[in-house]
Amino acid sequence: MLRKGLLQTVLWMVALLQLFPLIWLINYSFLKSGEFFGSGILKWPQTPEWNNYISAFTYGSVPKYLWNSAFITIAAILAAAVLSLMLGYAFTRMEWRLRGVFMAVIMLGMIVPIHATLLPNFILFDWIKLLDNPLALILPYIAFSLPISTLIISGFMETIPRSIEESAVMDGCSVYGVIFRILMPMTKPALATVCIMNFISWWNEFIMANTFLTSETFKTLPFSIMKFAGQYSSNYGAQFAVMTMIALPTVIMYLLFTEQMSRGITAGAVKG
Amino acid sequence: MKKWVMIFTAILMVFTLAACSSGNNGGNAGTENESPSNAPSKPAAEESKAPEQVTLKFFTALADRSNGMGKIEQSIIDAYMQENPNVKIEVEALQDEPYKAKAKVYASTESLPDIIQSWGQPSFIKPLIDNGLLLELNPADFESSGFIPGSTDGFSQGGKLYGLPRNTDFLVLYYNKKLFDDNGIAVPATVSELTEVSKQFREKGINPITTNAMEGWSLPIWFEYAAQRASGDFGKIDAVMNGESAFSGDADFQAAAQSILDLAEADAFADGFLTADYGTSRNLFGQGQAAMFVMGNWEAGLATDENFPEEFRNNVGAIPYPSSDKGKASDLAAWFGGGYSISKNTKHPEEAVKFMQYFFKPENWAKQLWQTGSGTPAQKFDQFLTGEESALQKGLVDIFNSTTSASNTPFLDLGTEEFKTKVMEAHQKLFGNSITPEEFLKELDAAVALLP
Repeated sequence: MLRKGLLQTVLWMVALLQLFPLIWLINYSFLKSGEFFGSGILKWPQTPEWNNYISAFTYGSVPKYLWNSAFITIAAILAAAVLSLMLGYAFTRMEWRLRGVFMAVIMLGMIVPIHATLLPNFILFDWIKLLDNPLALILPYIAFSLPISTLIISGFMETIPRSIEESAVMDGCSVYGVIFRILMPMTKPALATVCIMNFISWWNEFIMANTFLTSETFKTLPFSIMKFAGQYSSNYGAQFAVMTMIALPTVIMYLLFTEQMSRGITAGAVKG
Repeated sequence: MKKWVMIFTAILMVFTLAACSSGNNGGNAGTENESPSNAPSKPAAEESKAPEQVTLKFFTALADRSNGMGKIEQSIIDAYMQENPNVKIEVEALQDEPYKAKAKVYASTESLPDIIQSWGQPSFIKPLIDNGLLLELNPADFESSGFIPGSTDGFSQGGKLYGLPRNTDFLVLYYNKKLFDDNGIAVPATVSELTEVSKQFREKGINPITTNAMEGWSLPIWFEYAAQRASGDFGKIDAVMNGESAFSGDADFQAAAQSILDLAEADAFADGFLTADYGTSRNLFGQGQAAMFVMGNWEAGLATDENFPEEFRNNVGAIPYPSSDKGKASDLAAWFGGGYSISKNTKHPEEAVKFMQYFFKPENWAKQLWQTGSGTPAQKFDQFLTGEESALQKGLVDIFNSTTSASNTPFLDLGTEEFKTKVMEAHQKLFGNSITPEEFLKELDAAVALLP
């Protein structure tokens, strides 16, 4: 009983530690800029400063940027999911020469830092007139998602018995049929994991967006924060309001899919 | 089968949609960027005899287009497009650090936008000039703008002009009158009084002085004050920078570093001084938790910032940095901040220069900047004094008008990025009281030794 109580308190403390930044974030989004950084850590305002949200929606163009962010992120994670599923199939099920080499080359992508690709990509996109275009973000996002996604999905696929596919082939299923009608439903947990992981990494990506986008039309959510940054001091309240709205989808995704995620990651981990 | 056809079409749509939107991009990108008050480019398209359509790309580090300088910049751009329907100015605004990062990308691909924000400091502008990326400007084109003598020096190299300054900046001591009056403390006039006053505030449990020590760039300018007050001459640091002498072993620099240490030992710096960034220190002062704030004249808006209580707004004032027997209060650490340059690769150099001429007409930038209290222009602006300025603004003008000598570009901006970092780190150690004056001066010399 005592041990259980101890465990409970420890868990509650961990939970509070995790929740605190979120509470902080929401709390600050209701403060006036002048009330920040005072003596108290949390400061509940007398009257919530809804103006922060109003200016985030109007001057900060949150709705437009939200749509851009959603479009770019979803396009990237869907493409990455499909491609990594196909790659996973090619690497685990198909027998071909240089398979190991290609797998290794794809995995090597994991060690490439984003910053090292900024300049070459900028020159390349400038060349093929892709600057200031959603594709300039979607393509690198897909590329950076592929290594880890392929790793997770092929790890998961190893756990699926081949006999299922064999019986499908006997019933006259094509290769694509095997991938999308047999394997895809079975790898759902892994696919969900991959999608959520990629969503989290690209949802508020800034450095590439900052480099490749120039016009207002395609800017993503993080630009909205910057709109409130003055040369010296900033409109912190509105920035926190924007950040709250950026964090919201991520938090919701987490709440909905935590189970899926942990299942997806661990499922492929044990079998080699 | 149906499922993967669906997915395939979904992917296809992603790409085709993207392609479509990129087609529209050229058409609406610029207008999207403008503030809601205008729709200038449309009438131009309808006029058949309109002169050639020109699009200028304008790259600025004033990210907030709805407040302060960013708002003025945008309103001048909008007004210009209204008057010249054939010119479209596309604004790309990023915050300081992202701005500099992207400027590097633009510079290394030789695709600088037509007009860029630049700083008249070697660390920013020299590489651009050396690589021939900036257009040489003709000073005669801007004669009517009334730039203050010397203000374009930072933007010049080899007698040629490569940029135009936007602001005059100088470092002052903001103070909260109410805190002084309530505690019966007199405003400090000399350096030793400043130490004394700080002790008194400490006794009352009030933070004496704050500044953005975490970012660190205000500290070396503060040290320039200390050095000037010790030696009576701003030129001594310039002599070191020119390699004519050294920081170590100089009695005046020693005394200057000691005077900063005295402040540190008197606990003059606010709690968490070294971890306070710009917003934190400004708020600490604005919330009445610190009595003094060492910052540039651009904070004239403190007196009108509704984020702070009215009591504070009515009681904020500015004084020059306290004097000594050698350095007068009218010896000012003043310099010329950001400005604009034109890219050499621009397709429309005449149009870009014309816009800059318009921008720097006294009644545009100088007048609006001053009358909105967003800063002090680098141009003559006496004719725009309205008499309705806030007490704080008037105080700042008085300080500036009484200038007897000025420091010019802060010495940390006279070198490379690496030099700048080293200098700021040395200062943070000194202000944090974790280093002796001798060690501090040695570190400065080591930083100077890095310079080519």
